[in-house]
Amino acid sequence: MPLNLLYAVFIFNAIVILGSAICSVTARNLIHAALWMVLSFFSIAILFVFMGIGFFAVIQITIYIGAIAVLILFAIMLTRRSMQEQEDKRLKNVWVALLAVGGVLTVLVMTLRQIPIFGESISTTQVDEMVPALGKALTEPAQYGLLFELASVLLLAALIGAIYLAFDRKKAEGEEK
Amino acid sequence: MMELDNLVWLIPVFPLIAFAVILLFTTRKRVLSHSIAIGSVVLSWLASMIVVVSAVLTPDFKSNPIHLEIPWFTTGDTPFVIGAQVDALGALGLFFVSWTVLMIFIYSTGYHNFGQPVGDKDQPGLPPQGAAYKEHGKTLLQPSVEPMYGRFFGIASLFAFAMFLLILADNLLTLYIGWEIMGLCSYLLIGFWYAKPSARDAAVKAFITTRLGDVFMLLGLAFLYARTGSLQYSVIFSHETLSSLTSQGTGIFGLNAAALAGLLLFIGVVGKSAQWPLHVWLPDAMEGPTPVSAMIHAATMVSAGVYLAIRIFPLISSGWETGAPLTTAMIVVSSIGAFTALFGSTIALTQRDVKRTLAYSTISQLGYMIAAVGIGAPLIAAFHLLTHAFFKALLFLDSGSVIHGMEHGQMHSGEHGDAQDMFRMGGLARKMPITFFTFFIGALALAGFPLLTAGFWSKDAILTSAYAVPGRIIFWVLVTAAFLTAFYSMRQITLVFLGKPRTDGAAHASESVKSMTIPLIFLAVFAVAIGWIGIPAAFPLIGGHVPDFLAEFLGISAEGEVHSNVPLLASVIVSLGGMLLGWLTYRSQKGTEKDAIAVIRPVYNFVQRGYDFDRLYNVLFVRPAKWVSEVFTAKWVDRVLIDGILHTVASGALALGSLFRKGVDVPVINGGADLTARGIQRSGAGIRHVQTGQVQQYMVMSIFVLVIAAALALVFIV
Amino acid sequence: MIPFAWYLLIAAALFCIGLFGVLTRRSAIGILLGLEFMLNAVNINFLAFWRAGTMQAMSGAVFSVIIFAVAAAEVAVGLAIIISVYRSRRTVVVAEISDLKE
Repeated sequence: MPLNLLYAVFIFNAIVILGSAICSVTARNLIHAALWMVLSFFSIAILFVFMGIGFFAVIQITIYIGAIAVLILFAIMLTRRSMQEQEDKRLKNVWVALLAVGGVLTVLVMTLRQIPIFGESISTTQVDEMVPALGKALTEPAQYGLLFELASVLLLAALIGAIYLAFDRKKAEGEEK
Repeated sequence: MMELDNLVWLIPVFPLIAFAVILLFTTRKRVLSHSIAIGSVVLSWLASMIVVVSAVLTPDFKSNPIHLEIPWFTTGDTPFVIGAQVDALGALGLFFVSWTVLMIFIYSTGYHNFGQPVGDKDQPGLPPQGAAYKEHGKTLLQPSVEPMYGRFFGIASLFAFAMFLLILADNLLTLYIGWEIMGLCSYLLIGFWYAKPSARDAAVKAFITTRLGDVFMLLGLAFLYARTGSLQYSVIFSHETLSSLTSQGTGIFGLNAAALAGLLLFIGVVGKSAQWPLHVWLPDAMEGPTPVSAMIHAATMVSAGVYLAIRIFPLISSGWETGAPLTTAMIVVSSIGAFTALFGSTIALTQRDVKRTLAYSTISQLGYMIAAVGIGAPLIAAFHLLTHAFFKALLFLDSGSVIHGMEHGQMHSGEHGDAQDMFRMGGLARKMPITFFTFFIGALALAGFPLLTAGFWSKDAILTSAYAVPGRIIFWVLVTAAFLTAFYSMRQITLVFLGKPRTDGAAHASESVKSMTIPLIFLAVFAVAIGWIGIPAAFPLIGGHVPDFLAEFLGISAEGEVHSNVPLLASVIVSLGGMLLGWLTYRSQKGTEKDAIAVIRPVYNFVQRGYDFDRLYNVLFVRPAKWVSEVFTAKWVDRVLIDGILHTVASGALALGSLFRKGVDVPVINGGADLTARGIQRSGAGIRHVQTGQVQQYMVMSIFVLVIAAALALVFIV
Repeated sequence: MIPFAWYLLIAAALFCIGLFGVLTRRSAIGILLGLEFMLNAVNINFLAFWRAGTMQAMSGAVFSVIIFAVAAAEVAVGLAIIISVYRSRRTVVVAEISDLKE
């Protein structure tokens, strides 16, 4: 692909990421916010493709959009009242938060510029051959096998916790009666 | 001679202990007080007698006196040594001081009416007024005991200590200490009856007048110490020191250093021995009880002045040799002495009070001694000092006896009047024989009755020495004074004892108790006999048969003494003639008013008032001093200036205080505190809103901080 | 051939947007949305760094995978909590759930 086209697409993608993210955080309606978030996630997946790590793009879509976004949507629907509510942003809060955030951005950028490899480029070549290596890294005890196991434990704990927390006793008792 | 040395320093210690014990513990107990006092004086007398006898028996005593010393404190390099010494003059002093003090102490018990009941109206501070008693249905008065009996003996013991201390001193500092303590006791005892205003005034007068002399004396001491580095007799009067002092000029009146020191010290003598011009205190000192007058103002304290004059003779006579014309210092001394002798005797002529006559007589006789010192015969002055102590003490104690007799008579007859006025007496010879006899002996001694009385021998010696002085002014002055002395002695005898009683009080007088009359007898013996130790070898007829003990003991040299018969003749004529004239003038005294010699009344009165020196000093010194203290110091300085300053400072401080309060304290401090409190309250109320419980707000805040920290880190570290 | 810096900048911007959302949203779920953006941004960062290097050390990728898992688990639990809170208080508005207030 010619370089300029690459850049153009990339930039367009970046704009979509950030734009949808901004729309998500500023949307009054939570469902709209969640949907904008899905768009943003998708653009991020494309970003991963640009990076050459398509595997992660798939993971991104699967987990973030497939699991997380869906979950959020369900939660929003379950906590229904918030759908009708107007997001009443306190104006004062907004500007202060904007200021704080601006500050963080500035600091981040300044810090990032110190990094020596800042000037380099990432090729867009797909590196699918790293996937087996990744699999090995994840599962081999000598490498990050332990981490992998721990992550699974964490998921289990989260699962149990979520079930327990969300368990509606009253309804259950009501049904038994 | 170890015990002797110990005895010497013990002599003053006994009365000192008596003083402390009496005044601290036994003032209320009469028997205990006088026993302790008399006991201590007896011990001192005993010790003194032992010392004197051994001194007399020591061959060539005048060359090796007893001398003890110990170092006291260090000034600079040399330690200041104090000690005691008994040389020939000291032994003489010990002799007459111990005898007279002992006699006077014993006499005092009777004088203060020991054994008599306490008076009904008697109060401490006033002389006893008498106790009432009933006899034959009538209420009569009898003499009552002195309320402050114990106190008297306490102070008198202190005085005895001081006098002994002075006699035994071997340096001028100890002498000065004894001098000042005696001054204090004199003040205390003159003002013994302190509730009497006249007594109080007299005490103050005595103290201040002698103080004036003492100031100059202190100057002399300092001067001497500065020039010689020591105040010890052995150092000051040593040949080298004397010659060095004599050679140093001072530029003051052309005196050399020794003479100047001597004169400064002599001014102290003038004060203490009541010489003109500091004589005014002695007649008023008669306010004290008679034993006080006898002890302090006749026998001992005023003699201390003469004693000092004799001691410092080497200083006064620096640069003089026998036969040479007198030096400036000597002229000053002898002039003052001679003048005072004449001056005192003229006033004594005109006095009505029996004690005041004797007081002026004392002034006059002391003048004799001072004159003797001034003309270069200090040891002869010492002789007269010795004899005078005895017969003057005798005379004073006799006068006390007379006064007691008169008071007794007045109580008996219910009469009131001055019991001391001679013109109210008369015929007491029959009523009070022992008193009369002893008084007569004393008067004869004073007048210098030839051969038989001690006064004659010493006075004659002085006149002889005076005759040898070229110019003979002093001689004739002293002869005139001797004539007047004889006259007023006889005047006194005649008025008091001879003739018929002129008042009821005199008519009812009675003899005094034994405790008073026995000392009189002792003293009378001395008044007669003590002169016989100094019969000069050149005396016609008797001289040479009886050795001149005194001359040998004291070291009076007889060289160059041409014993002319003129002074002898003069003294005999003057003495006998004066006495005769006195007796003739007053033997037919009738009535209590007129004095036969008051021919020109104004002159008589003027002389009687002591030539108005009291008035003169009052105008010159007393009134200005009072003005300074009352008007200047009290009113202007104290009230206006000092109080004014104080008030101004106080009101200024108050104003400043309120200023601070209103201007600073209330608005600034209080306001500031309130402001701070309110501010904190408000900010607290404001800051409270931070804790909203809203997590997002917390997050915002923490992000802010993080951003800032990161920025700083970026800037400084990276 | 995309410059490495662009990835990082995107990640940074996304992170800040997510942060803005967290600080501003009234609803708890809205906060969670912002949180997810932050996590995503972190992920991009990790992967960009890993990709920019030699890719020899797998730690970058491995960690990224773990982040995915953790993010999912966290969302699950968080939503469970929110639903639970909603049940008891009938609200998901954060400001009303202010038990931390003094």
